[in-house]
Parts: sequence; C-alpha cells; structure tokens
Amino acid sequence: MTSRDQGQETIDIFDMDKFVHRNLGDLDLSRDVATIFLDSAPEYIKSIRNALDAFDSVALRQSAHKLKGAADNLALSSLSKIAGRIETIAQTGDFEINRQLLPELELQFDQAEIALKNFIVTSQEKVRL
Amino acid sequence: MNILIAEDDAPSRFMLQSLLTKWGYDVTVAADGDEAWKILCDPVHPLLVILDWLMPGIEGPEIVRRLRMKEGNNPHYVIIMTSGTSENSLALALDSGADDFITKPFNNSELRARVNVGCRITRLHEALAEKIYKLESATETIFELARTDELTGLHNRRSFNETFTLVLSSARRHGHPLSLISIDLDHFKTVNDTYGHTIGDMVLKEFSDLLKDMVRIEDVASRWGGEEFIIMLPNTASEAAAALAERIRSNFEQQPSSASPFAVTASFGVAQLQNGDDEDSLIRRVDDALYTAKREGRNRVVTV
Repeated sequence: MTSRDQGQETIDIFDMDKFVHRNLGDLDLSRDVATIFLDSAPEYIKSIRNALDAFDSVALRQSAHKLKGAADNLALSSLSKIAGRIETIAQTGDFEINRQLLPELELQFDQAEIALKNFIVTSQEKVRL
Repeated sequence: MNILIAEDDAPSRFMLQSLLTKWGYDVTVAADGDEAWKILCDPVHPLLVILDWLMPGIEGPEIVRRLRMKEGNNPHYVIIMTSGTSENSLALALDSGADDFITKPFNNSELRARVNVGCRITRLHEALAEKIYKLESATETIFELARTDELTGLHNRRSFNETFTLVLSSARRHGHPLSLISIDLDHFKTVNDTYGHTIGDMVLKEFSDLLKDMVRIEDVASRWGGEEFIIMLPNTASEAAAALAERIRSNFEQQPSSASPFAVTASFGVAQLQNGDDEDSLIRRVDDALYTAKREGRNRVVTV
C-alpha cells in the first residue's frame, strides 16, 4: 500500500477539509456538529440492528437512510457508502445480505469515530497554538 | 425572516440551523414530520420551510401537499431536502408542490443561494398578500359607500332597490306579507328656505337617527331622495306597518328638534304587497297613500 493510497483511505473515512469547509471554516461549529454526530450515530446503528431483528424493512430503510444522510454531512464517505447499500437493499426486503453487512457498518463507524474524536482534539490544539 | 427546518438527523439539523443563523435568519426546528406539521398549523409560523424528504411521522412531500391544500393568499415557500438516490426525486418533490429542491450533502453556497431565492419570493408573496388585503378592504368600503346615503347613513336608493327586488320575489314565492312605509317631512322646503340647508340637513339626520332606532334589524330604512324616506318591512302586514308608522310619527312630533327652531312633522303612507304587484306598482300605491296623507292635512298615517 502506498502512502498515497493510505491518504485516500483516510480521506474516505473522514474528509476533514470538506467537512470544515461545509461549516464555513468554523472549527467550533465543526466540533459541535461532530460531537452531536458521535452522540446520535450509535442510536442510528442500534435502530438498524433492531429493524433487522424485527424484519422491519421500512424501519430498516429509514434508519439506514438517516445514518447515510448524517455520514454524508460529516464527509464520512465510507460509512455513508455502506449505509447507502443497506438502505438500497432494504427496499428489496433481503434481510440476510443486510445482516452480513452489519459488521462492516460497525467497523466503518468505529473508524469514523476515531477520526472524528481525533479531529475534535487536534483542532482544539491548533486553536491553542 | 423565520425559517422552519424539519430534519430528523440531529447533527444535520444542528449544522443547518447554525449555518442559517450565521446568515442572519431566525430558525425554528422540528425533529420529525409530525412536529413540523404541528408548527405549520400554528396561526403564526414560518413561511419559508426546509423539509427533509424522508422523516419519521409525516414525510416531506405529504407535508407540502397538506400545506398547499390549506394555504390562502400568502403561500409558503418550500425547499425539499433529500439524499437524492432516485433520479425522479427532483420531479417528485416539485410535483408534490415544493418550490425547490436541494440534495444532501448540500454545498453551502448553493444552499445559501437557494434560501436567498426563497426569502425573496416569500417577501414578494407577503407584499402581494398585504396589497390583496388592502384591495379587498378598499373594495368592501367602496361597496359599503355605494349603498349608503352619505348625509344620513341610511341605505340609499340603489341599496333599497337591490334589496327590494330580492325581498319581493322571496315574499311572493313563500307567500309572506311585505309592507312599505313611504315618508315625507312636512313643509321641509320652508325649513331650508328660512334657516338654510345646514339646519335642514340636521333635521334630516335627526329624523334618520329616529328611524334607525325604531325599525327592526330586518327592516330596510332608506333615504329615497330629498326629504323622502322609504322603509321596507319583510314579513309584516300593513296593520303592523301602520302601527310602526304611527309610533314614528308621534315620536317625531313630540321630540323637539334640537336643530330646528320650530317643530317639524312627517306624513306617512303604508301599503302591503298584493297579488299581481311588482316593484313599481307597490311603490306607486304606497306613494298614493302618502299623497292622501298630505292632502288630508299632513302629520298623519294613511294606509291603502
């Protein structure tokens, strides 16, 4: 894996520049939005898991859609992509494939969480400097 | 300008709210479709609305459809927001009645530009609604003025004639009685000639005020012209009309006028609608009764 690939992979997890730009360069606002996301997203993932257990395709589609929208806004493209796949498959009613996608979703969220927490800390340090 | 944001995703909602606040807008937020609809049902609520397409509770397009059903002169400006997975989303959003559409994640300069357009259109709608309101009340005032006698505030002849045609045809259809009282102030020319028109006008006003006090709400008391008046009494036979005329006559005779240095009296003719009567023949008969009252010495009521 080249460093360039690694860079791209990092950007796919969390594109900080795009996110901060979306918040008009306001780091305080960006941190607040990231914090709210970190508070809300575990709930969204829980709803996805519950919908899968209940074989509720409408709820599954809605909660995957919500997570995808949130991830898009936060410039978390890998997480958005996997949430988007679950949303699309939910419309076909195939719960088995979606169940198999769940670990991947959780992995992507873990990586996004690390990146966002890192962003929250380092962007504050930058301000202090 | 106040904007309503309905978005179920908390971080997106907060981000949108913060951006719009930075751009100088007042923001109201709703966390799902039901809450948004509740806010939109308040008598005072934002007219510029940004709705997420897919939300728990009522979804965005359904909210727009409901809004369009109930709104009047001052319509809402609605921007629908979606992650835009389907190619038809744009057409579907606009077909549901939305004014504009934005895809998530939004580009913030595009968002700002679209919200500014919404703001401009909303202001235009508001200005237009204000003008329509003013126009409607002006029309109402003009309509009212066109039917009112300027000096006395009674119905004028035009108003009397319009109502008379309706009341007469209704009385004929249902077989209900209808009576008219025709009135002329006695020796009124002398009042004008001796004391001037200002005093004459005051006497006319005093007499009109007396009529307004004494007739029922369903009666139409009108100034026919000069010192002549006519009262239309629906559902009233000539005996009851004559009794009212007599009460008016005696009240007017006994109430010393504050305007005129000498007592003014009035003569009254009374007639009831009969088979074969039309507007003209009934008015002719009530006028005949009035002339008889004049001829017989004035200050009296004559029924034909």
